[in-house]
Amino acid sequence: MTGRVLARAALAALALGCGVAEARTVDYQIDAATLEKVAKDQLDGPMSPAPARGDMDLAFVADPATDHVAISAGMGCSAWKIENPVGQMLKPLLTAWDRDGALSDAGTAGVVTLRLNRASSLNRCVQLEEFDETCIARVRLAGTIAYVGEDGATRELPVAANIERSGSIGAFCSNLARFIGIVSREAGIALIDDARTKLASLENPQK
Amino acid sequence: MLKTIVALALAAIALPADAKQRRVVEPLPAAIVNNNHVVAVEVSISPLAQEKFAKFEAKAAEKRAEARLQPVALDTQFAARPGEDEYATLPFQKMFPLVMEDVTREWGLKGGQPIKLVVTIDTLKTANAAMAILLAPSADQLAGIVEVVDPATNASLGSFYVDVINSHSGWGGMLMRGGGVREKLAEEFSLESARILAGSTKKDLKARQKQREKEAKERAAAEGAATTGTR
Repeated sequence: MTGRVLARAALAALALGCGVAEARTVDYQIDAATLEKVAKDQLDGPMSPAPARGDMDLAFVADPATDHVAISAGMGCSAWKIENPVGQMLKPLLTAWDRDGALSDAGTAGVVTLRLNRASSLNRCVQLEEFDETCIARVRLAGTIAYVGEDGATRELPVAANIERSGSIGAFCSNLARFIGIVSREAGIALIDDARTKLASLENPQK
Repeated sequence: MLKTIVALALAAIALPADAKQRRVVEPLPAAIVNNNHVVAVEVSISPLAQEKFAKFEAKAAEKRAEARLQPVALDTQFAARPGEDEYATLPFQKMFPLVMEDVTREWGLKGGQPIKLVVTIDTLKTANAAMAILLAPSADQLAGIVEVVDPATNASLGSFYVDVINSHSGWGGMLMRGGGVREKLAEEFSLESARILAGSTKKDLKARQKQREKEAKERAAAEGAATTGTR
């Protein structure tokens, strides 16, 4: 009897992923084809395309605190500690937007600088029905876009993104980090869209 | 499918029958913890949960009709605050704010910074009776995110997440569960919220419960004395 109880307890611990906060880091180095495939599997709704090529030279600076640990709320998968280095996520997206596909150094004349000041991610997994679990990730990014005005003075505009998407993470929370990465990428694209829109309104001021 | 069933069954051994979780996402300023009172509660339902909610709302409307009460829509303004006995007949988005206000007041949150709670519900799920009786425990769940807002400026003061899960298994479990599941979940959600708003610790929890019981006795005694006085 004792042996059976112990075996059940051991199996229960395994089923819960041992209940220990194991750390995982979102991997932003995966190739585009793999990203597209996993997004199709995990994300509810379509994945946004990478930013279109722009006509500006860009630089990127991130506050070190923006590489953060995602908050996992709720009962599902909350034992997992997911590190989210969003700086790594934004660089290739900005490179796609950059005029010549190569980021410049911040402070270089004629270069527009995106500065990331704050980032946070929140994930929660809930049951909608028996055997129908979904996860919802929210990623918030905030920063500034610095450009040189007509008078030669450097000006900054605030930019922000607040994206929430739902999706699946597989059995035993196995693809949680990947899901958070996919939603973070959506937030990165939204941040760049915000920056692009605000810069475009400057180039075409309303009279 | 089999793996999921086995995992659920094993998880039921490990998870307590009444697991609750609250998690602070953005901490409240220290000055307003245990120094606030709820003046308004706005509830919205996440798009993922809306389809399920339609069924709950239909059931509440049915109960209201059976009780011969005037129908209530989301934009209905109450002439008088509905009593607790009416809660089961109200739409969730009308019932939940009333429960939250009741519970936070009972927790002594009556003064200090006025706050508005903006609640987004991720899921409201009830236990599957057939599964609970025949196969593995099934759970009632209510989960959502609560943004605490200054009602004067709409500035965010903080936020937290609440996930209430009550598991049930077997005939006994389902019988003990009883009715009014939606209202019970709302009350437990509100209790977890009150604990965060009050900055409550375990020790503090016992003291508050004793205080609530004492106030309830005093109220009952006062009502009894008033009744005797009028005879």
